[in-house]
Amino acid sequence: MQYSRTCYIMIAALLSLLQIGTANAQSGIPFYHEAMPPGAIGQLQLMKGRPMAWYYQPIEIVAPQGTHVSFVENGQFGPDRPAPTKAGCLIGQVYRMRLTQIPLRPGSELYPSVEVIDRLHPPAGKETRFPIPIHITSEEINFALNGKFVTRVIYLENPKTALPRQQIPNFQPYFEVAAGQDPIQTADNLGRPIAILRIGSRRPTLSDPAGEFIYQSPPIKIYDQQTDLRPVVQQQNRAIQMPLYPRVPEAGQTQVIPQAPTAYIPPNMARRPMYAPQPGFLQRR
Amino acid sequence: MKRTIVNWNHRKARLIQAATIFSCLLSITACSLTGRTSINEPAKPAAGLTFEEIKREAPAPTAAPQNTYPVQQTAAVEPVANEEPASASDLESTQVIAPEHAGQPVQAPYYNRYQPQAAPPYMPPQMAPPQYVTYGARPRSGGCQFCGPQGGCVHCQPGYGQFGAAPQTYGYPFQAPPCWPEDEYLFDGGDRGVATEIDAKFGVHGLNIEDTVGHYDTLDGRREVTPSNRVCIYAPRFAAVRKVYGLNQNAGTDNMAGFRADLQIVNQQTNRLASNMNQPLELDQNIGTRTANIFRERLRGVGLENKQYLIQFKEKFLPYENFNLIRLGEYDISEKLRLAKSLQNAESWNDDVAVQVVIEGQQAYEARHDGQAQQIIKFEMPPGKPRMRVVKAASKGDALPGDIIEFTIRFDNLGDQRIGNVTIIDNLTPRLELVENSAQCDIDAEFITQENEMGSLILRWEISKPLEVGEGGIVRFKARVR
Repeated sequence: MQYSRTCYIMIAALLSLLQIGTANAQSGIPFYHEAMPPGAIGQLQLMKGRPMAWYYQPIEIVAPQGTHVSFVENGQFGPDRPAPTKAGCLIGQVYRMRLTQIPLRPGSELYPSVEVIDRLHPPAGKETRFPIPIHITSEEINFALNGKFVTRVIYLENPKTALPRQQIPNFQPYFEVAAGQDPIQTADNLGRPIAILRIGSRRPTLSDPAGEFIYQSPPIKIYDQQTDLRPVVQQQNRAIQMPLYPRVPEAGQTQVIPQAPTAYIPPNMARRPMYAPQPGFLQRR
Repeated sequence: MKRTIVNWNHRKARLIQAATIFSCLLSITACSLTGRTSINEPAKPAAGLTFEEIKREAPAPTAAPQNTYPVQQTAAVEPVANEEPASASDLESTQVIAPEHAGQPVQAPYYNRYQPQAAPPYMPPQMAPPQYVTYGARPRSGGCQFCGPQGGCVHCQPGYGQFGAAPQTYGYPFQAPPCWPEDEYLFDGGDRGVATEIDAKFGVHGLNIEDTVGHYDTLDGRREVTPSNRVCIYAPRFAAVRKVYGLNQNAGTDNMAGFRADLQIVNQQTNRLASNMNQPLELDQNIGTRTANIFRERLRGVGLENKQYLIQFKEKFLPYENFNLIRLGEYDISEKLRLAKSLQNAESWNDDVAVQVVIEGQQAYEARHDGQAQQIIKFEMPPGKPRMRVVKAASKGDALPGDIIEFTIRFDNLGDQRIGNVTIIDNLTPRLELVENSAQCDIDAEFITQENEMGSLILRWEISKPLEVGEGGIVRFKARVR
């Protein structure tokens, strides 16, 4: 009985050693993982002190041909733009989009979100030439419309260990991870994760708190496709400034003093000359 | 009988105990082995590549032409300070001699790390270690400690355009070195990591990915390796990792029990955040011109009357090659600005970058006044010192997948003696694919390709004839960005 007890103790010690060995084989706890809420990784990236704050990183949404993309601007969805389209996004913010006119899916709408978690450093002036390509394939659209949720982590390949294959511009190669694997950690092992696309079947409802669905509408730069992808500059109305004191007329010129209009001139005056005010004749009631 | 049973039980218990202890020991060993093995170690490339090529006989010292030109042998030269003299005992003790050459008298080293090497124009000794970009690494935050080999820290600052990245982060200014971060650039040229060595059978060792070197044999039997400068091209490439989550079942009942609403606005308060920002674009910093200090050593006073041999060139000189350094092998001070830009290649080359104004047959070049005390740098090259310069230039500074980049390598014999068995080797990065039938050389050479371990090619030009003093050549090829 004593020996059998000794055996039990030894077996227990063996099992504990095996457990310790198994625990040693694991390599740490990852800091970033897939269960983090949207925006958390990007905000943590900003805290690292890199020059990423207030940098508008251009992204390019590449969807099946014919799909229209609408970004959230000023608290509401903006005009639908044909894909591919580009926009400048802040790092650490989450941007909601709307996909409409999906080919072979009439009437369907999807609302994916994009989170930029790192930036590129292109040569000055070539930021829009090298955007982050965010591809949304037809398969992923079908997944989302069928009630599934797709996370796509876009990463920057290490050129020294990149696959020696020619990359097609309209297709972004991807790795599919199975259940139990973390796409963010997998992308971190393969390169530098730079953006996260989340696409599901969630739609805005009236019961949503204000601004929750659109992630409070973070600032965004929309690039106009027709103007060589330059940022759209809003022309501000310049106030007409009148001089307080009219200039002294030069010799031979008569001084023109601007005066307030004395008569209401209808806009269709040219077509209706009979109503045109004649000099010295003002219509009065 | 009872005692026998007890003994048997004792033996059984001891057997189990011994087996348990043995298995424990095994498990401890396995644990220690598991702990020692790191799965996160960076994958190192193969130890080296060896070209199995046609044997080319190295020129023996006796084969050197006697009194053809006044050349002093290196052996007669006193060693320069800070350099250890290479003696036969040192050679025998330090070199690894191939078995088939064992027992043969060692005349001179085919490669000696202590030999006075031609200073690589791309790597000053104070160069910071290469920055390995890892996700989440702190050093990406900048600072000048990662200034590139070109010496300039401030002339390539990404993010200073209309996108308005904050130039200051946490108290110290962000100064990006050129071609930073490295995972967004394609590099070609230089000799990074393990130094390239050429053995007696022309086997190449330590030729890493992206390396470009030239090697040659001297009259006294040495085999020297000269790396080229490093060219970087902005060409990021992306891929993705996808995961599909499926909802199993979601059943919910949404019944409206009651509803009563007094549709009356009691209060309305709107706090709208600033959703757009117009940042005034102000010139933060002037981008200074980088001095091409890597060529200071090449300003030598030997004859520059080398001719231009155009034998196999199919095209004229391209705009990015329009330098005297590339065309004639002469370094013109007036081309320093444009040459620095070409070698660094921070911007793409266009036709309008070429010479636009010619005044009375003289090229108008940019005058610059530093307002500093002038300094005269005098170089005295010891005699009997063979040298070769390898300069590399690329036609583009940025490229998308599918673009074709043209590379030009200019090599010159800047020493004071003839060099032979001149070979230019370029180990392409896996993102570059050689365009077929695009390799050219303006002098007689044999072009050989070989696959490297990363799925790309190693390009090799073997120059047929020795290069006399002041002679040189040009190698050109096209590569497609994958």
